[in-house]
Amino acid sequence: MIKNIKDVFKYRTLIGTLVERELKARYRGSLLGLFWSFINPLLLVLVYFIAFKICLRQNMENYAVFLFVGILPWTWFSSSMLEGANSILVGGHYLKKVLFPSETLPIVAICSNFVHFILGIPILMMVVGAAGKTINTYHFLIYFPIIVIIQMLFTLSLVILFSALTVHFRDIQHLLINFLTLWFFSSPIIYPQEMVPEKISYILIKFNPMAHIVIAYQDIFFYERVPTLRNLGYTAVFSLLLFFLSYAVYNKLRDTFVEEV
Amino acid sequence: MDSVQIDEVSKYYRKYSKLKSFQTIKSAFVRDLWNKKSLKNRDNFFYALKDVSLNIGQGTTFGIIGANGAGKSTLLKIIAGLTMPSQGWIKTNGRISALIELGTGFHPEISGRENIFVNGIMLGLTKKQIREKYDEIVEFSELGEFIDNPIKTYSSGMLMRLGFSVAVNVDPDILIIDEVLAVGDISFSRKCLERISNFKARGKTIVLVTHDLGMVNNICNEAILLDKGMIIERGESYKVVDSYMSLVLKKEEENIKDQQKKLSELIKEGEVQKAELPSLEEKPEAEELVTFEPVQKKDQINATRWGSKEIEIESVVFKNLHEDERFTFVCGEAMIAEIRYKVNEPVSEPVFGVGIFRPDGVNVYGSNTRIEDIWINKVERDGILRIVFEELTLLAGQYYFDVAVHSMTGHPYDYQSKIHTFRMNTNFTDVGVFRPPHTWEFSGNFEMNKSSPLG
Repeated sequence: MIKNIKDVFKYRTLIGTLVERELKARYRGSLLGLFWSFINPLLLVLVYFIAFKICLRQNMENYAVFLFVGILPWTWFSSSMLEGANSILVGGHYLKKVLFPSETLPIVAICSNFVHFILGIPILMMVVGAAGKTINTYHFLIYFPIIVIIQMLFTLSLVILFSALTVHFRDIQHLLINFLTLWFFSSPIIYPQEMVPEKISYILIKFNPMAHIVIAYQDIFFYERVPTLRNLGYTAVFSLLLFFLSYAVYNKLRDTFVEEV
Repeated sequence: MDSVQIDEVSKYYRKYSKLKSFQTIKSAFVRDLWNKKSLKNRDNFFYALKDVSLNIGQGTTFGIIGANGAGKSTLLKIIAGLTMPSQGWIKTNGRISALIELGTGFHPEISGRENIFVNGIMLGLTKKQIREKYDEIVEFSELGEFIDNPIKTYSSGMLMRLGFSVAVNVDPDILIIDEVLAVGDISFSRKCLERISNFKARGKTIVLVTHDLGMVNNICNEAILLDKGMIIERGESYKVVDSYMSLVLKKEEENIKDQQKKLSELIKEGEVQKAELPSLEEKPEAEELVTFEPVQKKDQINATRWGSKEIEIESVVFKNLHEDERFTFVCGEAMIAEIRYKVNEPVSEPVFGVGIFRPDGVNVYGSNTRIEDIWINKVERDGILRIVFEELTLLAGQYYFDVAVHSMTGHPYDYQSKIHTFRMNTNFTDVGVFRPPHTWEFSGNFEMNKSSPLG
């Protein structure tokens, strides 16, 4: 396992180049280009704002800002999942032609979406500022990188697991789309965690790593408070365990990719 | 030292019907039920390679040849490390680059310039190396001003040139090439060959899969011939190429034989027949009798047969001078066509004729007994007619051999068109229909190097 990780590290230039290619190719030819990275989440916020603030009369203050804080990291997560799970199937023909570690493909999916996420952060800060809120610089500098790393690890664990399994069970791509929608509405992204009924908050919040991650972002960008470190710690440990499990499955299946894609 | 060592390597795949059945979750659960049984059953596997052992010395240019499906690419992928052998082991010494495909990683939306970097890095070059060689790559590709356009606007030739220009800049210890050299126009492929010779001259190892036997002859020191996943010959490249040629000839011969067998069965069953023959009164012009529309038959063979069957042609057999039955002949060899006929009703003054046609319809040769001034009074009993071509100098390709027997006035008794075929092979690459026996003579005094045509 260590050797494999080292191998991947050796191919970081390839990952970088492929991410660059992905980003260039995605917006090449469109008028607004990279601005779509900012516009997309903003439009998504608008959709939920119309649905919940205007139609359902959600009476939360600064609801749009709240939505933005949650949707931005969720978009990173769900796009990475959807692209990543398919990445080996889609990029599999490269594996037949050129020698490189197959992990590169799911990692590229996560990283290119990460770039969109990071580009969205300054916009988020502007939106927060425009709403008359402040972000504690100290909280931001310390906790933001930590949360990002935890989310990265959690996403990576799931993506490599699903990317390997999807090669064998193509059904996963279809299941995953619906599952992610369920997951989205079960996480405190479009509603604050206090609104979750006591009875089910156990499942929806406590055993939901994405809930802890999203709440942590909300803590620093919306509630102006220190994230609950204990929950983040649990999430980090869980992600790490999940990573070892996923990577073990991945390594077991990796030799079959070339033949199955 | 050996660059590549392969020991008893086999590669097998589960046959696809089985494979397909566990691509859904449901079947994954039921899989175990039959799994144990099927794993033991060798019939459920397809062997792409079977117990292949091979050493490739450093500095060798090594050719792998064989028919489609012989396992060439599988072997190449195992050497390149792209796929693992099912059994056996492989060891390689040195950095490997595999040129299995040109332009891996190319994305249509981005420019040629950007794609050079993506492709180069996929092939294992560093960014620095690409930057250093960038101008050279662009110059080599002859793309010039187009380099900043998205490559979706490129022609396929431009794409190949761009892919190859990046590829020739890889500098590994072992270079693996799979049939990618046949790119671009003549001058470009010459440039590519130069690069390969250059690589060879620096003592690097090259492993090459190609169908271009001339190239194997020219640049490889050693070669192997693969057939059905096994090495059936290994040695100096020209010898292996020769064995491959004779293997191909043998297979072709068998193919034609099969085809003939099928056709002669059709003839027996009366499947190949001309539709209702118009009576002579309606068409008094004898010539017109042979201009009917051909009847399309099974397997898209244009085989046609018509006639009133007073005399029936039962079989046509091709033989060489040693009376061996053959379907393939080498240019310049003798060919005997043996026509066996049956008499159902004695007829007087029949005319036997033959014609040689190319598949594109060109009548290469035709003659009959009347033209040859042979007059047959009456035929009452079955017999054999032999036509001996002492020297058949047709060029390579497939030929139809039409046979006919008809009356003096042209009324067909039995006419068989595009039913019998033979094949010509040649050691020469001259063009045209046939090779008139000839020699070249020069009046000037200069030295001539006469080498064998396959040299």
